[in-house]
Amino acid sequence: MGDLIATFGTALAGIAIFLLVLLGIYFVTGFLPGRSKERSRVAVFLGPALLFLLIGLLIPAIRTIFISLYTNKGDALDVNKFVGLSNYRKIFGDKATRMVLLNNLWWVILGTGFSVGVGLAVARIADQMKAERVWKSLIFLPTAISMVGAGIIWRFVYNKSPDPSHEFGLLNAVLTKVGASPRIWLLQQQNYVAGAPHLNTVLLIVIFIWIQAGFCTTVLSAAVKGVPDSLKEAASIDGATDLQAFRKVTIPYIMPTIVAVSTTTIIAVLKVFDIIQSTTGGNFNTDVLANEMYDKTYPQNQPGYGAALAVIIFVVVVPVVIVNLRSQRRAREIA
Amino acid sequence: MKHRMRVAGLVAATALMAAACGSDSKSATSSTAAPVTTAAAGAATTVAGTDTTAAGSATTAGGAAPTSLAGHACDGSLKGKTVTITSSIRDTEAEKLVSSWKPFEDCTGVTIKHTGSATFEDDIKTSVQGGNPPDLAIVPQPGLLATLVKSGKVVARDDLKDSVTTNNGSSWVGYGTVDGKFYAPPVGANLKSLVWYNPALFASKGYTIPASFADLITLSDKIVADGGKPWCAGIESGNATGWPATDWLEEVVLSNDGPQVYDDWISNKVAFNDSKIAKDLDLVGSILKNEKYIYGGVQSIATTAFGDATIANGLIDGKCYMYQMANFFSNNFPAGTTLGPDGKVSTFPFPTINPANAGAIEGGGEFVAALRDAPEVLAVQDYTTSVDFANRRAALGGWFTSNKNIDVSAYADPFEKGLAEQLKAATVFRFDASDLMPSAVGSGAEWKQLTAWITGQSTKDTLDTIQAAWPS
Repeated sequence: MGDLIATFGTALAGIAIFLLVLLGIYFVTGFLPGRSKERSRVAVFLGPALLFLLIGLLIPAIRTIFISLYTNKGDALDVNKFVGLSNYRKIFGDKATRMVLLNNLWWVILGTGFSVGVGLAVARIADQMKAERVWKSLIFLPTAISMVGAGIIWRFVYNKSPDPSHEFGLLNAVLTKVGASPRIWLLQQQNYVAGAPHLNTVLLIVIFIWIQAGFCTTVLSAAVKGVPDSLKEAASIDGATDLQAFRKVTIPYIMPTIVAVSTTTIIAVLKVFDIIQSTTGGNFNTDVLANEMYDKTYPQNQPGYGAALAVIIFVVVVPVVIVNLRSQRRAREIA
Repeated sequence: MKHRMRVAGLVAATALMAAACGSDSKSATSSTAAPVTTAAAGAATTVAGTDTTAAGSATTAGGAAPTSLAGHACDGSLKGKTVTITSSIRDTEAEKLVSSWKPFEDCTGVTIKHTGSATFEDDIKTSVQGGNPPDLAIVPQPGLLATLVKSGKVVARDDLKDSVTTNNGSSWVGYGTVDGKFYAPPVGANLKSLVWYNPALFASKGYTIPASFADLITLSDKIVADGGKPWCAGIESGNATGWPATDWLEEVVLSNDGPQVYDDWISNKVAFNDSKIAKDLDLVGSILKNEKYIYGGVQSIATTAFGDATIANGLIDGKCYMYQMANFFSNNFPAGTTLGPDGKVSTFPFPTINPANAGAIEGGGEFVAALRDAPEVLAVQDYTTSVDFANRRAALGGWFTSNKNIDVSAYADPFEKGLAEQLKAATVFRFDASDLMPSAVGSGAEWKQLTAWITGQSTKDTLDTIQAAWPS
C-alpha cells in the first residue's frame, strides 16, 4: 500500500512538474515578437502530444513492420534472421490462416451489419414508443459488460451438460424444454454453403452484436432526434408514408453518423480478441486475426509471424480509420 | 504443472456457476492445519543439497534459529536487499510458497517479493525483452527456459550441477541445461502417468486396478456392460486447450515404444507423423474417441475444462470411473475430499502397454532461473532448490518435488507420500515431451491439432499437420 501511494505520488509530481515547465515556456514565449510567438506556442502545445505519438505509436509501428520481415531461428526470444516477405507468404499460403482471414471478413460483415442494423431499428422504433428510455437502456446495458465477461456469460448459454437431466446452458435448456435435442453449440462447425460462415462463428458474432448494438443505438438515436421536424413535416405533407420518410429523409440526413458508427464498429470488430480467447481459444475453426496474432507471438513464440499478422490488421484498419475521421468531421459540421 | 494456473479464472467461474465446489479448498484446509510445524527440519545443512544427509538432520528441533541455510550464514548480511520472483503460481499455493521462503528471509535478512501471474509464460518474455525482468523466474517448461537463455539474460549456475545431480538426478540437470551450460535447478515436480479413480466404488463393484493396457480396455468394456461410463475427460484450457491430450499421447508413446523413441520423438528424429506415433495416437483414440466410454460424449472433451467440477464430482459420484490427469488435479476436489487408497479418490499408475517399458513414468516440473547476477539473487536461488526448502514446502501440502533427499515424512498428505514412493520406484522418468519441443509445436500445433482430432479430424491429417509445423 505504501508502495502504491509512493508510486502515485511520484507520477503526480512528474505530471505537475511537466505542466509547470509547459506553463513556463508558454510564459517565456509571450515575450517573443508576432509570428514566432504564435509558432512557438503551437509547438509548446502540440510538441508533447507529437512526442508521445512518436514514442508510443510511430516507432513501435515501424519496429513491428521490421520484425515482420524476420524470424527467430532456434526458438530464440528475439528475431534473428531476415526472411523478407516469407512470413506474409506463409500467412496467405496456409489453409488454416486463410480460414482466419475469411472468418474475419464474416465478422466485419455480420458483426457490423447487425450491430448498426439493430441500432438503427431500435433508434427508429423506440423513437415513437412511450417507454423509450426503458427500451434503450435495456439495449444499452450489455455495452457496460467487458468482452471477456460477455464471453464467459455466453459460454454458459451455449454450454451442454454431460448430464442430460441437468442442462444448465440456457440455449440447450430451452431447446430440451420444447423437445429438441441439445448440442455443444461452440462445436457446430457446419456451414451450409462453401465460404459461408460456420455456425459457431455466427454464434460468437452474436455475442459481439449483443455488446455493440447498445452503442450504435445510443449514437444513432441522438442523430434521429436531430432531424429537423420541418423536414419530416414537409415529407408527410407531400404524401410520404412513415417508412418512405424514414428511408428518403431521415437516413440520408443522418448518413454521416451512420458511416461514423459503422467504421467505429468495424475497427472494434477487427480488434476482437477477448471473445475468442474466453470462449473457444481459437479452436474449432473460429479463430480471428487478433487472436491468431497473440497465439503466434506469445504461446507459440513466433514474433515475426505475429508481427506480420499485426501489419495485416494495421493495413486493413487504416482506410477504415480515415473514413471514420472524415465522417466524424462531417457529422460535426452538420451538427 | 504447466498451464494449470492460466485458466484458474475460467475454472473458478465454471465452478461458481455450477455451484459445485471451491477449487483450491483441499489445499486451503491443509494450509491452516499445518502452519510450518516442521519449521526447523534440516536446519543444520551447509551447502544446498550437496550434503545428502540434510533431509534427516533436523538436529535443531524445537525451532532454535539455524546458523546457516543452503550454505548461507544466518548473519543478516543480506539485510536491505530485495529479490523479486515471478511465477505462474497464485492464490493459496503462492501463499505456501512465500511462507516457505520466510525462514531464509529471517536467516539472511533478504526481502523476497513474489508475483504470480495467470499469463506468466507470456509476461516473462515481454519483461525480459523489455529489459525489466524479475530477479528470479520459476519456469515450468524447459523449452521456455531455453528460449529465455538465448536472450543472454539468464545467469549460468554450473556450480549447482553437483547438488542437483545428488538431489534430483542427472536427467534434471539435463532439463536445466542449454548448450552445455547449466542454468536452472528444479523446484517443484508433478507426475503425469496417473489415472484417478474412486477406490470405494471400485471395491463395491468388484473392479480391480488394471495391470496392463489390455486390462484397462477390458475393465472399460466391463464398466460399459454394467451400464456405467468408464472415463471422464476434458482438454479445454483457454488458449492452451489441447494440452491434456498431449499428456495422453506422451504416456502411450513412453509406455508403448519406450524412452529411446520418446527422446527421438522430442528431437524429431522420429517424425511426428511416423507410423509408431500414429499407432500410439490410435491407442489413445481407442479410449478417448470411443463414444461408449466417455461421460458426456467424445465431443464434450473439447469443451470441458480439464479441471472442471463435473469431472471431480463425476469421479466422486460414480458418474465416471477413471480420469487420466497429473497429480495436481488433487487441488480440484471439493473441500474435505480425502486422497489416497483409503480416501475418497486416489490414483493408480498408467497401465503398462509394452512389458519392456514397465515402470516408466512421465512427469513435469518447474525450474528457477536467475535473471540478475547478484549475491542475494543467487542465494535465494540456492535456497529455493535446497532440501531445506523442499521439506518446508512439502509440509504445507499440495506440492510435490523430484528431490529424492527430501524427508518423505515431511509430506503433509499420505497421497503425496505415495507419489514420492512411486517416483522413487520408477525405472524410467521422462519429462513432458511437449514442454521440450519447439514452442511452435509443443505450445501450438500439437495442442490445436489434437483438439481438432478429438472433434473428428483423422489421425493422419492431425499428425501430418503437426509435423509440417516443425520449425526447419
